[in-house]
Amino acid sequence: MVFGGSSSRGSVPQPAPNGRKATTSAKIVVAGGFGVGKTTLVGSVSEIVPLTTEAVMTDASIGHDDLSATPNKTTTTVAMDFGRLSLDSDLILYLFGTPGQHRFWFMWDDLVRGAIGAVVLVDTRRLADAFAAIDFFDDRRLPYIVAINRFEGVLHHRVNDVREALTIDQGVPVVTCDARNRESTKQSLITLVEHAMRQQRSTVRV
Amino acid sequence: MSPERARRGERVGDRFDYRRWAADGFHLYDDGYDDGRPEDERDEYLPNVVTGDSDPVLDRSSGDQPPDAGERGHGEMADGEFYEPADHAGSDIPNRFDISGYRNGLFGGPGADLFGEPGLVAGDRASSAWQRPPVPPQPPAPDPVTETGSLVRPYTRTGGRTRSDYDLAIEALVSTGDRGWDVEDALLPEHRSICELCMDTRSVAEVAAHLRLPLGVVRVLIGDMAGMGLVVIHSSGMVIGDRPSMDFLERVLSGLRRL
Repeated sequence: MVFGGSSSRGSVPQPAPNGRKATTSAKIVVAGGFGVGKTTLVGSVSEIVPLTTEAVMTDASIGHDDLSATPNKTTTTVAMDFGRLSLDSDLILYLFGTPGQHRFWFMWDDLVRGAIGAVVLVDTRRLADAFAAIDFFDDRRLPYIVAINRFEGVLHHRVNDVREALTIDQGVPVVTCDARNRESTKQSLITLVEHAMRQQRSTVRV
Repeated sequence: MSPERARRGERVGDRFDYRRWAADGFHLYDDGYDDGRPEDERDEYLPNVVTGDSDPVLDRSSGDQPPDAGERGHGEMADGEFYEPADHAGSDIPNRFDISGYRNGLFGGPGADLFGEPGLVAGDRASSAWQRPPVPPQPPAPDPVTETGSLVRPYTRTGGRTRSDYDLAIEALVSTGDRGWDVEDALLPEHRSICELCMDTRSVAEVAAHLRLPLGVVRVLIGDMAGMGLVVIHSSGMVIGDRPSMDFLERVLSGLRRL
């Protein structure tokens, strides 16, 4: 069929969808502490202005979320930003920024399901903000890389110091990036996908 | 003012025994002062509390507050002022002197808020503690509507359902189905909006963001619409278990490199 370009280039007029080739989507999670630059990173490669979607935590998610501090609260609204990247005529990559607050684990389950992997963006002045995300991805065996965001081009710690401080496995790539820069973000994503492939190969062998 | 009430008021003034009152824990109309009327007859005074009639504070002090607060409040005020009724009658309510007015003067002072919030009494009518030991006031239940930040509860549009027949990932792609192109087929305004949005293939998350609806709501809506043939959900494919397949990763990688 000629109009396989089902996807993305939004302005292309769409003929009837009959026989249209199915488009597939991929997902990469961008995690990190509040204000570390997740939305900036998403926006630097996204073909759309990052959108915000909301989820309402209901009773169904209470098991995943610690509500002990607010026992009377029954609903919470969580917002997350995401962008989109057309990799091919029938392949769209979505980048989802995790909700900043760590207590919204119930969203993370949704986020990591079927994801290629995660980029954990860290600010070396606040390394501890990344602990929760790293623990979570380790637990779910989701491939992830650590990307140190160079604020104002300044790297506050050496890469190896960061690896040590975060106590992450030697196999996990630690890269530096500039979240504002499209090329830099692209490189981080490539590093993640390569790492995911390596990890998958090794698990297949085992 | 009902004659009943006036009669009741006089009883307080005439036969009041402060020591006995204090010994009983400062309860009003406790056993010692029971006039023998049946309970439901006494309950008729509660509506006056709610509407803020002449002596709300006194009636309110029937045991809804912590014992120490009541004790302190009654004690301080009653101690010095109880035996000077003329003062209150003259200065506070000159034209409407009656016993209730006096009680107002006694309990309606600056310490009146020690006896509890008006709202708590109104809500507590059924379990009115005329005869029960004092219990601390319960914190008011939070209003769930305000917590969602929306005027409409989010799942109203799905008839209260929070689960869809389809297991939709947030990145699952949706496009308008055969029937969806004739928008008249869609009955709900939300269905119509989604049909229009998905004429370009979009993810569930995008639909939610554009419609400003929570993800869970959009999932249910799209699930319904897929059942009706209004939209087509693209299969995620190329996933083995929970993770994308190697071939799929290769495609993503080469796509990224081409950027």
